[in-house]
Amino acid sequence: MHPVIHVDHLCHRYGSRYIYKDLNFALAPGKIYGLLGKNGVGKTTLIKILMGFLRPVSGRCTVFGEDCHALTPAVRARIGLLFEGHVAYEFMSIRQIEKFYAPFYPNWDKRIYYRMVDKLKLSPGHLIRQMSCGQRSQVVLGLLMAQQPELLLLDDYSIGLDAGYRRLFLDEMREYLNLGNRTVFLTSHVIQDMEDFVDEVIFLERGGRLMTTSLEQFKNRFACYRLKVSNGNGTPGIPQGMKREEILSACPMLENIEIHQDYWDLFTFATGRELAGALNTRNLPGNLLEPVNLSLEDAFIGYTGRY
Amino acid sequence: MIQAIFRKEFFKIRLLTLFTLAAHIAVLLFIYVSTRRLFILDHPEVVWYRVLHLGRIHYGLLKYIPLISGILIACFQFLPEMLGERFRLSLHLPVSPAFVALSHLVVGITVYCIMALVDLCGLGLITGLFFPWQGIEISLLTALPWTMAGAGAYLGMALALLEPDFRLKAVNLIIGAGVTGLYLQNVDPGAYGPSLVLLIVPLLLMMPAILLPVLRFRYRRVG
Amino acid sequence: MNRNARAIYSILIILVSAVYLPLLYDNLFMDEVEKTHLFYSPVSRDFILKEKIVGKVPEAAKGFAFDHHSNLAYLKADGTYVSRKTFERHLPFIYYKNMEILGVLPITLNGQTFDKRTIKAQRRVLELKARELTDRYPGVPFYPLLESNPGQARLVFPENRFRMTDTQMEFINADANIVDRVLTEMYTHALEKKGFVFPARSLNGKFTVLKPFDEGVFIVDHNFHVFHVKRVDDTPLIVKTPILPDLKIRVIKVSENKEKNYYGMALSGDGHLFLLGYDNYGLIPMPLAGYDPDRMDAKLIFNPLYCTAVYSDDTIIRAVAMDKNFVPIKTFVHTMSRAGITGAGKARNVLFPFTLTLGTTLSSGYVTVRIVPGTIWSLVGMGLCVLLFTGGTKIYTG
Repeated sequence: MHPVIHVDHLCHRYGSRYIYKDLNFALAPGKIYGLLGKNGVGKTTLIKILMGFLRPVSGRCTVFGEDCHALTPAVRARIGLLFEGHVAYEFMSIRQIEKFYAPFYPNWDKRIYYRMVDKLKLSPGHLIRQMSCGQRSQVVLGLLMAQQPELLLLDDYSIGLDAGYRRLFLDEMREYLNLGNRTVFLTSHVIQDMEDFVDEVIFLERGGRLMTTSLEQFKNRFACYRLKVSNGNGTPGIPQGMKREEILSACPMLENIEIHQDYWDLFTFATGRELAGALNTRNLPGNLLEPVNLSLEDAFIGYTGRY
Repeated sequence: MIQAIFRKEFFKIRLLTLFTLAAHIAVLLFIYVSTRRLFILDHPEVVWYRVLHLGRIHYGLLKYIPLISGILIACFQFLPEMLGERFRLSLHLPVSPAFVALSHLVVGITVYCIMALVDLCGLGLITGLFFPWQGIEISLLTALPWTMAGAGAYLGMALALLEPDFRLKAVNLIIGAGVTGLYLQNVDPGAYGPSLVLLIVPLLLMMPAILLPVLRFRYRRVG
Repeated sequence: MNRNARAIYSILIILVSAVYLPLLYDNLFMDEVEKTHLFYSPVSRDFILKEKIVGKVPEAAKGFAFDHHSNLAYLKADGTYVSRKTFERHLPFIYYKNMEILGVLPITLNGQTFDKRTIKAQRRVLELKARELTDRYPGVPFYPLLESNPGQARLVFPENRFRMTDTQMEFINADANIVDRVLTEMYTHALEKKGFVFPARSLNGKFTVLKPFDEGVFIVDHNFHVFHVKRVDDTPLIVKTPILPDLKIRVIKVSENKEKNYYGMALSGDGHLFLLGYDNYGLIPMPLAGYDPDRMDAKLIFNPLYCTAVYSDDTIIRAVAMDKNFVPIKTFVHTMSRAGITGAGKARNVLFPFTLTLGTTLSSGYVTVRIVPGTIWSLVGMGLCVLLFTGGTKIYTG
């Protein structure tokens, strides 16, 4: 099966700062992908490149088999794109904006749109600029759904939305996706929403390091182990003055270390035993490792770091 | 599809356009009042001599009005599109960027032409109330380059607003100002007569030239 | 699409640059030099001129610049520089007021004595510029036919204006802004009775009340007959002049003068200039060798002793001095200083292989678009640009 999106040796920079040097991934059809990463790693840049709004320095991206910078109108009709901030033409009303988009999309179903916006209980002549962030997001989502695209690209769908609207957004998305043959590629900061929604996660790190894994696998395999800091009175633990780099070099399976006053949290895909073994070889008390329960958000922060 | 874009654009600029049109009508009314006053203060043959023979026109106020209108219409149309780069919404539509750009332009030019027509008809009517048709003819020939200047101003402003790179924005502003300036020389009334047809060429060139900033806006790093 | 848009954009940039960059350069570096003032001196019986020096001011000229900027030169025909006072003394009929202050008047020349009053009465200038020819300037072909016998010192505008249509001399009443049928029929009928054939080819007169009296208009009919039309006591007075239709008169520059010897100047179809006399509309030919009315401005300067015809285009000025019977005495040809190319001018040609000019010219009051090519220096500029471009590309691409 042909990938819906295929990124091949993508390289892009702003000035001398490289966003990605050699990015590669492919998205299979029919799945929901969440692109996770800290602010500024290049999530929106990637969406822009995929939609042809930005031309990369080198590399190739295709969407439905077509080069991103030369997407034909026929392919664009199959893509629903949510711009960051739920950008919409705010001078239009609920009715007018539907009338604007409808003629462009052959599969347009206005009932889907009105099913979404009727929930707002606003008049059809209500202007979008008079709406709150959440209300606007509903209109935009309604427009996207009515288009019935095969690929939904949602750039930071959660921005400006409170918990209620975010939940509504995801519920509608789920219903929509149940109709089959739809692929979603979304970015978000709100990690916990992804938990029951996303099939695969793509972690994007600064410099373009990428990890693709199923959410299930990530949750199951990524773990946190806590090791106390020795207080200097002979209690076992991490010696005072120990450097982060020393532990990282001793334990190459560590993804990240978070240093607190009394303890260090060590994040890894490896098992507790493997980690303990590595610590023991450096005369560190690996047997004192305590597993820590992680929510998806904790795991994400643990993987990518706090800052 | 083009109707959808037309509807969107007309709706976007309708109120501000109406205000601008009202301003045009106000200016025309002022010209009517001041022309009428000329004939109160002096005998008609003397006013005819001054206006028709000496070239001291009674509608000089109209010279820069089309220019201002052209700039305003472009701002009404494209500033909202540049806010948050909303123009991407139209550019992502499943039609070519050229289609999007030119259909937007058609709306702007149509609205501008309506205003220009109001100006020219108003001027013709006012002049016709007080002067023979030769006076109407020369006043329209004099005002026509000013309306062309307004079209140049609209297109130049659109060129500048749609360009994402600020340096090229400045270049486009200069191009717009340069083209507009071609039609605003201080010459005798009706002096532009024989050149008017040829002077349409720069305006015709500016319309497809708009594609370049739109493509740059759309694709960033065109080439 | 992208390539086409780029090409059109480039053309726009070139167009705008071709108009404005040379303008900017001219405003910064180029001097505007007016035409040379050329006269025939009744004192030295030779030509004398005044012009702005272009380029370096010669030492010989500097010595005479006591009371003015040294780049303004007064020269005799043989090229020797003179002072301003000497220049004016050579032209007593022009600078007669200064001569009076200097106590030179009355002046005796050629055995005749002239005082201030005589000089003033016999001075006159008639001028025909290239851009005054028919259809060379924008205007409303709609004219007042003044009452020639107003019964008072000052001329007055009538309440109506007339224009020549294909079939009539149409009058429009200004008060009511409608066609005056009575006047229209009266004058049209009067013209036709004299043999006028519509439509008219040209209409000529001096349409102002700021003149000593009014001699009406001269209308050239379709068959090139010239009709003199006046409004006397509110009735048409029309004379079919004996001016030969073979001359195909193009334009008559009317200029009323108290001496009442000439109506003005007439230009024939083949480019000859004449004085139109009061004596049965006799035409006195002006011997202007090389005169091209479409490119040149012509001036006739009358003084008590001579008549000097001066005619010039953009670069060359010519003059013919004639006696009172219009027999040529002397001629002179001079390349004006404004024709000289300065360093700034050469640099201009290097910078701009061509210029797009939009505006009026000396020979047309209409705005025209002209491509003005550069000179051989432009090839130097273009060669330099090619070198810079290829060199730059090599450096950039390695």
